[in-house]
Amino acid sequence: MHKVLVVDDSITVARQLQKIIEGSGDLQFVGHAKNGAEALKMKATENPDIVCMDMSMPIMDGVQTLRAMIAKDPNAKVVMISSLAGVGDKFNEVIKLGAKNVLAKPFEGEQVLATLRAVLAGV
Amino acid sequence: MGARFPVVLKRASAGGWFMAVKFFGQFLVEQRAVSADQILEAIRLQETRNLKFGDMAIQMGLLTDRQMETAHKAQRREDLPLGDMLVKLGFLNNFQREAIIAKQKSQHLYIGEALVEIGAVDHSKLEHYLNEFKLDQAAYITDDIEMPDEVPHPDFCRFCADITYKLLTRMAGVRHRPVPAQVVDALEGNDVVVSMNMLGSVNAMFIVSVSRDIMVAIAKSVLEIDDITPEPDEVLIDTVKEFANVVLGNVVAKAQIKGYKIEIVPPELLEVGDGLIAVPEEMVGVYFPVVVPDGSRCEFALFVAP
Repeated sequence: MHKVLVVDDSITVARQLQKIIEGSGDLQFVGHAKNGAEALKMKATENPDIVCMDMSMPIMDGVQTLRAMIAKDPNAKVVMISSLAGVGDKFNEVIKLGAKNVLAKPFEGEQVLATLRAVLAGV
Repeated sequence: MGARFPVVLKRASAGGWFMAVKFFGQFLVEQRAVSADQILEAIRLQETRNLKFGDMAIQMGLLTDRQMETAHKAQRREDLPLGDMLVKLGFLNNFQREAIIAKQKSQHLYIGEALVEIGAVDHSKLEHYLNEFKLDQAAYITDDIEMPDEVPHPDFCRFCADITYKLLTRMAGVRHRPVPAQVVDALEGNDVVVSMNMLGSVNAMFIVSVSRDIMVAIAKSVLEIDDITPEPDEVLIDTVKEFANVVLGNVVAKAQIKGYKIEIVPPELLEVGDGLIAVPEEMVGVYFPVVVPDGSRCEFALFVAP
């Protein structure tokens, strides 16, 4: 089982992703961080194989957190989440910082799983 | 009177309705046509070719570094695009400005072309994926939605309304019929009212105003649960906020394709109760409610600055 950490200030998004991950059979939901600071702590304590992280969050946003996470672990597998995924500038920015892909909202369960599995497989 | 609750549409199957406005590179990675590393290489190639206005002007010998620096300083005092500022300062004439824009356009390297150039994908496959991408995004092509004459930024308001209607069906599962948009001075309160601000090419506030039963329908659909009884109001309200957030995210993504630059501020709950929400004096209130089957209230509005 691959461990997945979800980072999002929205309870709704965390609940949606938890349900998708728990229904997958090969992925394990290990927790929900509500902001970037919590995410960095949980990355160290839960040691997830992959992180799904919102781009805009209070306290420390997704882009800042991604930068910190990659600085600490250059091999970290991070997929960003955004309703702004279709905005080319944002997509380019996070890919350059080391994100493996961006999940666009609204979610479609199978697409979320396909994206996470592809990143885990190093595709 | 019909049933108390609005009709909730069954969720669509994979690849059906739950699509979002996307960037072509992201679509290609999703399709496993290219890797994230190849996208990164293609972006770097684009950056060397797709010159910004000022850099192109310098390369064409129409502008000096010093003049560009002067124009950048002037932009701190006056919010004008660089090209307009350079004309205002007398460093360029209108003909030169248009020539620079034309050269930028003619030399522009798109992400697909960049991927072909680095050997990540060949021409025939690129064409195939472009067609697939167009099909994927077809759901976001705006139908004809009428806007009153006095509405500022009518194109933007039109596709904001269009994406709202589409996601109300696809994401929130609420079947509805749009009512023509109208200009208003104030909105009536409702059980749950959420607002989001937009800043940039368009300065506006987006309002989602729903009665409790519509909020319940949205929560059931978004969280994929049939019984919301154990859920606190905080969770139900968050689903309405998330709906507004996804709508505006998709609106901004589409707006960027049309040349707008807009930032969005996270959603907020407005405590209005039975009171009125007045449209600020310097803004125009565009109200676009929808009719839901049982007569519940589901309304949207944009307060737009001219």
